[in-house]
Parts: sequence; structure tokens; C-alpha cells
Amino acid sequence: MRPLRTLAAAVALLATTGCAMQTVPHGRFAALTTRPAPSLGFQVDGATRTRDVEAVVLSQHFLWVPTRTHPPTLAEAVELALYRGNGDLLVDVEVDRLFFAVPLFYAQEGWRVRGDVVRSRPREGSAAPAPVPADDPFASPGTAPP
Amino acid sequence: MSTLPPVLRARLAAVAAIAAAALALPGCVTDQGLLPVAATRPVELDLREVDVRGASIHRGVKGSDTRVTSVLFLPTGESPRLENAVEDALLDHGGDVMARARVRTIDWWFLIGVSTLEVRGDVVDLLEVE
Repeated sequence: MRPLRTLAAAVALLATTGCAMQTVPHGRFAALTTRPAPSLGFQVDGATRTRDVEAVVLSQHFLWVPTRTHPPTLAEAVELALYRGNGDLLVDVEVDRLFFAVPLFYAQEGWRVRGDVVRSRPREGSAAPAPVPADDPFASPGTAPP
Repeated sequence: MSTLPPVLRARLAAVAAIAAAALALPGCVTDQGLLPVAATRPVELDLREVDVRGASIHRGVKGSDTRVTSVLFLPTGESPRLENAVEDALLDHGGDVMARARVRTIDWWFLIGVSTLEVRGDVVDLLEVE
């Protein structure tokens, strides 16, 4: 009788928690990138744009044992989208966190990003590197030109 | 304690050890990576079009969004959002775009689960330029 009660309790617990597929919206972004910003910013007007690029990075867990050595990250999802769209900037981006679990036995978690990938144009007129403005807001501290 | 039977004493010790481990183990911080540009609102990213000398930059600004995600292992359906964390940082200094935003998630559990999404980076106000 006791094993039956234990089994019933386990089933009740599983039924309570359920197999949950959760998509948590993290919002809509005008622009996201993992690539270093060009010194003159991203020249978006007239740039090549690949629409509706989607990238998903997931990690699976079997009996709480992960199948990857590191968790999937937002930066990884953005980088994958940029790679797929062959660009350097994501615009009109939707970011979602994904989670699915069969409690105790299996789980998967990750990130999904969807948006347009823009390949910002190189500076017109020359192949020489563009001069870095003295007060470039995207430049790293300590990397200002002499 | 000395009056307890040895079997019960051993069981109590085991429960105490498990409780101590449960207190010590949960909680993790995950680095979600570095985003050189994160903008929640439409903003001019072509710096040729703006006078960057007029832009105001606040370095090392932190924004976060924290939610209780579970109570006694039951999910609350709440989750922190990246958009809220970035907006928190932007609103703090009246900026338009975050540059070099380091994103990380901080989770811990003890009877309740709490999740925080944190961004730390530079807040740039490009709208102030002439």
C-alpha cells in the first residue's frame, strides 16, 4: 500500500508542475549586436538587410545532467543570428527565453532572437580605416586615438 | 540529544546535513555576454549624422529587473525581462542607447526562487546632440 501512495504522490507532483513549455518574452529591441561597433557607428541606410532571421540556442538536461559544458547565452544567440544573416547588426529584434521541462527527467532552456540582420556599409570613397572621432560614444575607454 | 535512540540520532544528522547542503548549493550567476550596442528605442546609430561631441555618456551604469519565479517549487509565471533591465539603466540617466552592455542572470532558490537580469554598461544620450 505504501509504494502505491508514494507513486500517487509522485504522479500528483508531476501533474501539479506539468510539462511546461514557457516562452518568456524579453522585449523588442531597436538594435542589438555582439560585434564591435565601427568608429563611425552603423551605417544602416541603404545597407544590405536580411529579413526575419531567427536563431535559437538550447541546452538540454537529462536527469539534471546538462548536455553542454556551458549554458546557452543571449550573446551566443545574437552571434548566431548575425552569422546566419551575414551582417553585423540586428534591428527590430524580438528576444525570447525558452524553457521546457518534464520535471525531474528532462529539461531544455535557451534563447531565441528574431529580427533583421543588417550589414552596415563600409565607409564610402576609400578602403582606408575611418578616423576615430575623439568622443566616439561606442569606443572602449582607453582606446581613444592619439 | 543524548537520550535519543542511535537510529533517530543518525536520521536527524542526515536531515541536518541535507538541509545544510540545500542551503549552501542553490544559486548561480550566468554571464549572458557582452553587447556592444543594445537599444530598446529607435536611435541614430550612424555617427556621421550626429555630433558625438554633444553626446552625454554615463559609464558603468547598472540596470536590473528582479522577479520571484517560484514559491515552494511552484512557478509563479513571472520572469525578469531584458527590455526592463535596459530601460531601467536608460531611464536612470535619461539615455537612448546602451553601449558595451554586460548582461548576466542571477538565480537563487530557498523555498522561493528569485531571478534577476542585470545589465551593466555605458548609457549614451544621442538625442541631445545638435
